Amino acid sequence: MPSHRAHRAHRATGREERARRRLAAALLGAGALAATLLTAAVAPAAPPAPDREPGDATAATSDVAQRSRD
Amino acid sequence: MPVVTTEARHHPLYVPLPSAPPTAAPPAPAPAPVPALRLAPERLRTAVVVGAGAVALLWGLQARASARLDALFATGAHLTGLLAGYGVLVLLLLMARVPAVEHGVGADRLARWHSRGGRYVLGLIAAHAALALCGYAVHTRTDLVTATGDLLSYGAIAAATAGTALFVAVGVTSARAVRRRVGHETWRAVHLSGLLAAALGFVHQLAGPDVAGSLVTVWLWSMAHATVGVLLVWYRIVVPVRAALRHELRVAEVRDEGPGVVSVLVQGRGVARLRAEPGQFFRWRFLRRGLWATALPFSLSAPVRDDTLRITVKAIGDHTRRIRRLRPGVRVLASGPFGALTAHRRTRRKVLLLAGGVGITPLRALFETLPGGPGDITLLYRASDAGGLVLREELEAIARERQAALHYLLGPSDGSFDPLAPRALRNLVPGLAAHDVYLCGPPAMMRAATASLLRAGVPASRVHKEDFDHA
Repeated sequence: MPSHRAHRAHRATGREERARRRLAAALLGAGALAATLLTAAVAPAAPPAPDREPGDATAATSDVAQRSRD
Repeated sequence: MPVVTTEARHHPLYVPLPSAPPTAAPPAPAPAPVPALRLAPERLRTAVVVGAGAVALLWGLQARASARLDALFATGAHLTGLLAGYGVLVLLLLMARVPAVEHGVGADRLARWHSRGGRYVLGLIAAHAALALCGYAVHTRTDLVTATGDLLSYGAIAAATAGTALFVAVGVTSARAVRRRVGHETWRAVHLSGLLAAALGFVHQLAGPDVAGSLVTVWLWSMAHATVGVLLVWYRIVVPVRAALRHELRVAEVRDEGPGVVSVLVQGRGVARLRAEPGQFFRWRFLRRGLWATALPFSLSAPVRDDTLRITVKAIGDHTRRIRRLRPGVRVLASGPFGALTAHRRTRRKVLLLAGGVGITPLRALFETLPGGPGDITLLYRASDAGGLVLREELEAIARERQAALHYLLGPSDGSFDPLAPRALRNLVPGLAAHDVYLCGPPAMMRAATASLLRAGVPASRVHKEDFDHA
């Protein structure tokens, strides 16, 4: 049979563990709420991204056509 | 009588212990607290590297191959920008004072990682700004000055630019040569502006094509930042304020321990719930004129007992000199406990505690509480002379009570005999290589002692130390 002291220590550990999990869940929940608000409310303008525009160096362009005298 | 090795008697610096009458054993310390959750340093390092890999993958999955100069600049800007944003997040997380991280990794190691990481992040921010500017200038076929003006017309980019200026100020004031000349309060104020810099830079990250490409990535990127923000607010503001209200810590006594050294006893309510372990430290803020603006780290010099915390402070600057003049009743804010120099790092039955100067404070607490039988625990205490020994009577009482070995190693650090040389250590501590070693002292002493211990055969993984220059 576990001693009384060991049983109390075990209960304290269980309570501590539950408290830690509740705290972690609360902090993550607060982060998720803040993230949702930011996603919904913040949409900053940005300059064009040249590396994400359609077309690249391999595609024919009017500049390239003129230089090749096509 | 404490256990003393025969060879030690012939050391020129050996100071034999007086045969004082046995004193009453100190009262039993508070029962050991429930073990704290600890994140191992290797796991944190791995998590950081994996995170960086995930961020690079986010960029890689969306990058398009192109030989155009503007596209090359832009793709480089996006990668460096993503990594810089992630890096800032990691730097903030390291300083969020999350207990599992503090207790597992150690405050000094976290501060070193933060400092080293800060240099890389500054470099990434600089690269990102330069590449983005060049990419925009090439794309719009304008000069750099016009491109700069155009980019600053975007509000989020203007805010990020202001944030970058603050980061540069943080970096400059943290450089060793500048930090020596700048007061601690000034350095701290500039450093805290890094939080504002991070917030100013965050908004423009949401517009980056790698993040803005999908709502899910926007939400995940925001979630990562928001979570770190929540952790910072919780552990750096809410927890200390809550502890102050709950425990009502006040100075109970200021006790003279010797030339320039005092012990400050701080009493409160429910102090055991702070779960401070021997070897740990708090950041102390004494709410008195001249002291309230700065929180400094001091280790507990005794286990928690009767709702009382004790620190032992040596006057080496203005702030520590003012601590000597504290009066009972002064309110105290104690943030912590922090530090990983605790019993959990022990892996061997035999332990050597190696202290230099006022580094004795955390080791004195461990000397009293580390489990062990007669002869298992040895304390070596290095000081320039006998007058520099602190808490001597307590150490001798503990050594007698526990039948532990206690040696004082006295003499100048630049003398002809080095008591911390590998051979001297091996003579004083038989079977040294089979010990766990806890080390605390001035930086130069710790460097020399670490090198000696490694040469004496102690594996690096068994040399446990905390450097308060970085805490």
